[in-house]
Amino acid sequence: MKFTAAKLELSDRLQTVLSVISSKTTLPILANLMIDAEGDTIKLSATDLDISIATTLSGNIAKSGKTTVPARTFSEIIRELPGDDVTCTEQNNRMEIKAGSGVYKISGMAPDEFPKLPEIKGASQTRIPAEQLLNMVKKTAYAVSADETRPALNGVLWQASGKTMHMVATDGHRLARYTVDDNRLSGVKEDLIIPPKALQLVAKMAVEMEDEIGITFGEKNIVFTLGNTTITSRLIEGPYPSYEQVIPKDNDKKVIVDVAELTGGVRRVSILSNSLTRQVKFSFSKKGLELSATNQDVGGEAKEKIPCDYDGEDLEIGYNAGYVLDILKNLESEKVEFSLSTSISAGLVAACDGPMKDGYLCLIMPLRLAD
Amino acid sequence: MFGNSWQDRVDGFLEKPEANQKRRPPGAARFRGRRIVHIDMDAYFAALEEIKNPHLAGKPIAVGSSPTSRGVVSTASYPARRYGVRSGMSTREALRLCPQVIFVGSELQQYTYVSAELINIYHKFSPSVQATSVDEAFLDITGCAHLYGSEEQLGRQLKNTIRDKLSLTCSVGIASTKVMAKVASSVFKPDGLTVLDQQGIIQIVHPLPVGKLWGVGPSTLRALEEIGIKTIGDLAHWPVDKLRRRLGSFGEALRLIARGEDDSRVLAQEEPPQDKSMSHERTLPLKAVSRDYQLATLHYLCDRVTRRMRRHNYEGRTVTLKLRWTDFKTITRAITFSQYTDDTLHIYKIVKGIWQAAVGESNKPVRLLGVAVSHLREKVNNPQLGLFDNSAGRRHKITDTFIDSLRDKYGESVIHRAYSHLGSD
Repeated sequence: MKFTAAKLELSDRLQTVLSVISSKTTLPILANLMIDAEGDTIKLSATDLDISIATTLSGNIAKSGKTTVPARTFSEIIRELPGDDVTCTEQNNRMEIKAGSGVYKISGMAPDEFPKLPEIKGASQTRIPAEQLLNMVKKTAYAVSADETRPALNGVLWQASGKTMHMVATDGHRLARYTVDDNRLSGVKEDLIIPPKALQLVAKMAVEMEDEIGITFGEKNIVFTLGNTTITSRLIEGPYPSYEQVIPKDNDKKVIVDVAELTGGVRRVSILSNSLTRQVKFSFSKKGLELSATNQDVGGEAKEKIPCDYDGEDLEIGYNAGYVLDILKNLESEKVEFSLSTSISAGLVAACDGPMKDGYLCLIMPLRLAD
Repeated sequence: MFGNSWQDRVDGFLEKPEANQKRRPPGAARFRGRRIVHIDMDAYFAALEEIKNPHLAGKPIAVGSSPTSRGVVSTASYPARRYGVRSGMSTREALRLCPQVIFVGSELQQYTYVSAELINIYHKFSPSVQATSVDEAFLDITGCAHLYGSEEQLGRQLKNTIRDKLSLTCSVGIASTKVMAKVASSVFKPDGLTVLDQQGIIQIVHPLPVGKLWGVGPSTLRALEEIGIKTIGDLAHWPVDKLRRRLGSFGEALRLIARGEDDSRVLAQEEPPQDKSMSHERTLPLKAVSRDYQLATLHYLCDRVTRRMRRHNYEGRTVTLKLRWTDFKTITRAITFSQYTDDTLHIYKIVKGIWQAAVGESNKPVRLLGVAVSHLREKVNNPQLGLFDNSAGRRHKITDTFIDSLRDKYGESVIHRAYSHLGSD
């Protein structure tokens, strides 16, 4: 194999591919990236077996061929090279990199050792505005579970529902659902459970795109196409728990609080919360909302009063401060409404204004208050 | 062994030497008005066997392996002792002395459990407890006696508690030092209670031959006898300088011991281990290839581990399976979950999942199985509630609590989970 390519573009593409390669891997070949030069296209691909990425760039190919090289070392060399162009020559899986007066050689591994990327044939396809997908991921993926015993919760649920589609994530303690009026998923695919790493990778790359993202739905995989780059991810096997059942329907205790005041209060009070539970006690009354926390390790006690709009009976609920802050951060509103029932049941948190007023549902389970 | 300084020897007898413990200079060893209880369980192992098999009560029993093998007697019941059967004696010799002696096996697991329960009882009487063996312990009760009226009443209540809770008798000695307390507990056996004040020491301990004193070995005994000391009382009243001349500072230390004035402290043991993980493993019988047997063993191991976690009030969120094939190749597989737990069945379900993934459909024989739970933390009393919590968790908790309470009361082997029985002891 021998090709010449623009150094900056090659370096850029390598950065994209590197995002899939994990720093510690059990299979040495997974630390390598595949280079496939054919016609006038250089294809770079990498995989961690769950997610694969492939991207192409054009180049001057003197001799076509395939090889794999250690991804990090190769990209580091390319990044540091002077000049505009770089020429790579491979023989017997040994890669020589030339730019300016510098010559670098590294050993690769045979391309047939590289895992085959899944091929998706005859699958259904759709296109989605990049910004929309980005938003859906950003508003939900934080709630994904890391619990290996419940694999379905390790993914984000993407679900068609009539003329709308939802993205849902939950770790069993909190739940986030973002709904958009878009029927493009309807009839294409039912429930999809996607690893958040893939979605976050797509979102990261979509930030720079205004375009639409192409999506191909396979039986066991999903493929996102962003310009010259495709990201293929394994789908997580379902079923996803029937989360609708746990969304409370008649939480009639409504509290409206200022988001900035609440965020600041929770942040400060939680400094003195128990480091394991991060419990902050929310005491709602007609007089206002009192936040309090204690930490026995440092003999700490914290209390703050925040005005709130509430005319129900007094109610005390313990929440994990981290969960509350995660939600508040994503509301993009000035005021937040809590819809509550009891101190041990799920509470709903929603934006009162702003772009997330409709279609964004957040659920949070309390911590049982110690007697 | 002689050769070390007297201080080493005294420490060897009286205290577990600690690396960072500052050695006291001889002159500093002063009597500080302590009150110490020594508890010695009566024919401990034999008594436990009698509880388990009530028909053995009153009969001569020896705990140890059967006389056909080359075992020794670890304890003899009092009826057996009347025939001269003693612990440490070969089982053959025991059978010769007392042909009707009944040999019973020793279930160590049950014994350690009862010993742990005993320590719980001791802790109700004093924060400072040193268990020197499974059936002996020292308590520092300095300043505690008035809570019970008198030292004698404290001793009686301690004995009653042990009798009521565990149906065991013990002999209790109370005195100013550990040595004297131990001597006191041996004055009346079984089921005795002896409080020794200074007068009692003079009357009961001092007439005893000096060789009976804790710390006096054969060489020291010879040296003491050479200068004319025959009884413990002689030693207590012998002029210090003469003892020093013959035995050095060890002589002075022995004199304090004989007077009941030495400063040996009750060394309280550290509370639950600060382990970051708890585990149990078992080597399987060679023929045990059956998948059911393996699962039962895993069930049993989960039961053991979670029981221990609950006893120390721990919960964890990483479970590791260890599996060794008969070719000694060993694999370990771990899984981490988000919610901390001490639920036996929940952890078993996870272990089972890991095991299934590891062995697949194979019937390859397994040599050893182990289960560990790590990422341990002290249980919090305000748990995070879950959206998908179901009644199973609550049911498991009720079962676990019930099983724990039975075992607390009657011992570990009183109840088994049906499924784990095949794989249990």
